[in-house]
Amino acid sequence: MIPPPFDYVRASSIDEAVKALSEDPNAKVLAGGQSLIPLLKLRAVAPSKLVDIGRLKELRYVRQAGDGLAIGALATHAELERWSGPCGVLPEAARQIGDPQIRSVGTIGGSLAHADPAADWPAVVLALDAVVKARGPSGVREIPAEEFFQGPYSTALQQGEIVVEISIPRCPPKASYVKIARAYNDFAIAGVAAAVWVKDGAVEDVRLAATGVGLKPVRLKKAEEAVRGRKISGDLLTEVAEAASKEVEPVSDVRASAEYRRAMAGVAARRAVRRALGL
Amino acid sequence: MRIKVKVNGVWYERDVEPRKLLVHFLRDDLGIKSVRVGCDTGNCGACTVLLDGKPVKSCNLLAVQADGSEIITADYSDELMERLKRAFHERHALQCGFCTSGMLLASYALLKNKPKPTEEEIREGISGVLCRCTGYQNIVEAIKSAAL
Repeated sequence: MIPPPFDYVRASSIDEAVKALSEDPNAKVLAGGQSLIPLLKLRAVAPSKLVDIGRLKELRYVRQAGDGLAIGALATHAELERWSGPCGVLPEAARQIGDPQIRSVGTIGGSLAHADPAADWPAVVLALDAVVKARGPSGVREIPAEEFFQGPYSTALQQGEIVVEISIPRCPPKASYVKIARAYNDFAIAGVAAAVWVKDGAVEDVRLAATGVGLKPVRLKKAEEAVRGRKISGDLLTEVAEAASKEVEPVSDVRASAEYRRAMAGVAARRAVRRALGL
Repeated sequence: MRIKVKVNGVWYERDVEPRKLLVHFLRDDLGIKSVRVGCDTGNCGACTVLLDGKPVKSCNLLAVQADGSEIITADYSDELMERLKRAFHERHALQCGFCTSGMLLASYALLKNKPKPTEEEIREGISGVLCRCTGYQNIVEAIKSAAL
């Protein structure tokens, strides 16, 4: 399959990329291309211009920042897989994305901007309360993950804006990402990221976020309510599973029926909390 | 657009259309037919090459993205690659051979980074290449025997 023709601009700076994007409403950003190129080949999209930001080395980093992390938009899944610092949920999640070849090239910023409703990173950044930094014609805008995802393949990014950094304010002491899929390299039927803070044998605070079980990644606020402040026990895991299943609104597609996704949202939530707590 | 790539140690300079996929550039422009187009959807890994040492799917990259990079295909020869090819031959790690280029390159990348992988690491390392003949057993055996 051959992509449709397009103009190609290789950006040598973020500003140059923003300018090229701002001038043309039908231009698209090319980062790693692991989501965009398959769509081009299927002719599902036909951008007038691709603005290639893949060579902007200044956007390729993962580093500690205060109690959290700053991740450059062009950090690849493979680079995050090898990250050995705080926020160990990042390598845990990265390992579950696609396969080694996809992970060599695909980027976290690209994945978030693409906003596939079954992608893995969106659930993880929601659970980590991350902020997406976007650079546009009028400078840098900080968009909380909660506001970033608006629907299938739809984000809060405006014309000419590029994701430049993902900022995680504080790494949770315990976190895990569990993905249930048909095959090793497939998209999630359900994926749940859990961040848990424990105090005196009880759940002091918790953030749960799910992917693959709705039109966009969602916080599982009812499941969080079910466990926040509770003593850690087996019953807790049962309740988190039930609450998560009840509150998601999945749709049926080629991968799974809505009913099965609903059931798997509960299973993924239970496993994610269990794994985060080390039970 | 004019691009330069080093493939198996040789620099090539060519004009390409920006929409040309890397796999078509390697096969049609450079005549390197060991790089296969399998599923053409980024799933099967038959088009796998090493780009600056990293395994990538060349049907899922534009040739312009590889500008200035070093590429290795299954035609490449060094001590490790020869060891792998011999092991694939001795262990009957192929039947139809269509996935073999991808398997060789995925396992080459794996052994470069992890000279002594566990079976699980081997299976993960080749998880992005689909074989529809062997059931993977002999491929895993071959990679095990090629490991130091």
